[in-house]
Amino acid sequence: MKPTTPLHTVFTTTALSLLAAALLATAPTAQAQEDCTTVEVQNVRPQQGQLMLVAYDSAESYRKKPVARLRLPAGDAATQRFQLCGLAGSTEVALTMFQDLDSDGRMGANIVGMPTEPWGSSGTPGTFGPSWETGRVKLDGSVIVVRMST
Amino acid sequence: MSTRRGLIQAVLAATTAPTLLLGREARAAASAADFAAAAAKQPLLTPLLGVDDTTGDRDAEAQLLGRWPAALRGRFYRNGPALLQRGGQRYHHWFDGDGMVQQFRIGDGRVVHRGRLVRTAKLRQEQAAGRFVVNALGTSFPGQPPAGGPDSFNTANTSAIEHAGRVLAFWEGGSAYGMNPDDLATQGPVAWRPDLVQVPFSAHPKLDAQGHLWNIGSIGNRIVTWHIGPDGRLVRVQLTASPFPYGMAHDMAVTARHLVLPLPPLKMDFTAPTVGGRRRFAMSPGEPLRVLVMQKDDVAKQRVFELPPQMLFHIGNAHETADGEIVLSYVGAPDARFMDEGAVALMAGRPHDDGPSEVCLARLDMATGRARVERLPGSEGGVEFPRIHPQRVGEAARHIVFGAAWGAPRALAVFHGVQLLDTTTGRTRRFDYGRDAIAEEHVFVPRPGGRGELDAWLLGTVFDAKRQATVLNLLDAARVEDGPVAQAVLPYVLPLGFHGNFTGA
Repeated sequence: MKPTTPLHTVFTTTALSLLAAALLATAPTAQAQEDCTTVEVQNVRPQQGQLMLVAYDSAESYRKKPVARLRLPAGDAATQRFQLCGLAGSTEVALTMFQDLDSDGRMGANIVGMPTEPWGSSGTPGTFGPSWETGRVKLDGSVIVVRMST
Repeated sequence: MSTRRGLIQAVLAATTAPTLLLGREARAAASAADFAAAAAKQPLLTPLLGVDDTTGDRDAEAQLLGRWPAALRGRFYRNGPALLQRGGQRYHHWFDGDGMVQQFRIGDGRVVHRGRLVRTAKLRQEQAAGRFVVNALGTSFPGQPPAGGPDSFNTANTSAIEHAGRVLAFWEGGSAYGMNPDDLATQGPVAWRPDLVQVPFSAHPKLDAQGHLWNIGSIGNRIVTWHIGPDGRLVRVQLTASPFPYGMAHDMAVTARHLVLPLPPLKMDFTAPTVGGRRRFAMSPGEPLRVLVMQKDDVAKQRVFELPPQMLFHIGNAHETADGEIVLSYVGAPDARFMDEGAVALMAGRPHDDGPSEVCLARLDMATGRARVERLPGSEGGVEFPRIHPQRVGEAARHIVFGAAWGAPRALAVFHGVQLLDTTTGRTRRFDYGRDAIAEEHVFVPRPGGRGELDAWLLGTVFDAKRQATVLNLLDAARVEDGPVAQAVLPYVLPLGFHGNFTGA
């Protein structure tokens, strides 16, 4: 009869490692307002480290060449909004994030490469990690929502 | 066999089904309301109502019957899916429920029971939400935030053992959860090392006679092997590639020099949504039952044996022979219908034919890579939950005890008896708890100072539908057919469980 619940999760660890690598370099800059969009991040662990965000604007550049990056203190609230700038010329983006709980500048991972710090993506990333297709959202003035992992 | 199954279906269709899910699609999952109505009419279903997290704690001193030996002292643990409904939602698959560890303290003329839900991160998240929100094996909840890792889903619902001063509650795909043996308070996930956070520690570790705990974990295309010392400290963790990536890896065996991991040809695809509790798990056509044999001290030194295709949940034991063979006993099945359908039907209180099972003995020739499989008798009505004498783990063990069904059809596809198999002679001996009983896993408990495998007791729980109570039973392993020599009757019903272990005082 029983046996078990083999819900052994199949995280796309390579993808998440690449996300972490892309987030290492940060260059938030004040830009013209028309280059910016509002990002809302949910499920933030307040007062724990920093939020690391990177944006891509095409399937070809996804996980290879970000169009924008941002690094912010984690702040006091579980839900936070901020401006992401430097998106001039882009019509859609996919955002990937992680919360660098220990502020060491890299996404923690275990020996099989699974993230040990919260991660998130725009769009509907599903359970097992983000992709361009699940993360892409149009830049139409709407707030872009990123839910960090539970 | 097929005649018997046909008869079961006919009888159940005539007697049980009308009280259950009239008018519903034959394979549909049950709502909480449907199941409550079914349970009101079928007394055997009570344990599948489960507990909730406000009334889930259970504490009682059992009523004792028969003669409990003074020499039997210790703690018997069991685990299983217990929180099956929340806010009107009901899980569709038996494996979905949140784990609850049962502890029976035996000694000084008393049997004292304590049951506690494992307070996992998943349970706490859903307590706060007031509803199920986390995807499970057979029940999907769309629109949730991404998961932080395997422990986001971890229900810690499959087995439990006391080791090195703490209770470990196991699930297949994530961390073991630590609990305090004194009060069963949940301590949290156990990582052993910071870079091992959320690395799967599977549900069937093997404790050898020297107190070493050996285990595997399966993650995507890799297998993790664990060695925990008698003091509870990590001795070694190793990684190797899986010869059947993304496949099911449920139970494992240990021998003097090797770890033995059967890999049935069943891919675990969790990306597709569930439909009526089912994920359409099916065996991959043409794929064998693989057995990965790894050297304990260097898992890169390995052999993969290919056996005829079979589904496999549980092994009995493995040992090495003088002529270089590894002998592996296990319960095999021709398909995965229990995984895909049976466990859904059980949650719906619906009769289901789980198909045949058979006890097999595989002889794995480490020199040539060839394997031979022998079918043993005594499984015609269905067996599972194989266990051996704990001091024979990894060594030759002659006797295996099972939960079993046989004979006339019963009202649900559940076990009603306990069966002991002598693997040397093929002789089986049985005790039938009766048509109003659901028999669960029984474990060997060695008699202090005992010699021989049958110089032991068998300890196991049974749900007694007449009493509407869970009963702990003690049998003499040498006289199984005589039935319990002692019983401890709880004043309540525990959810059906999966597996457990005894720790001597």
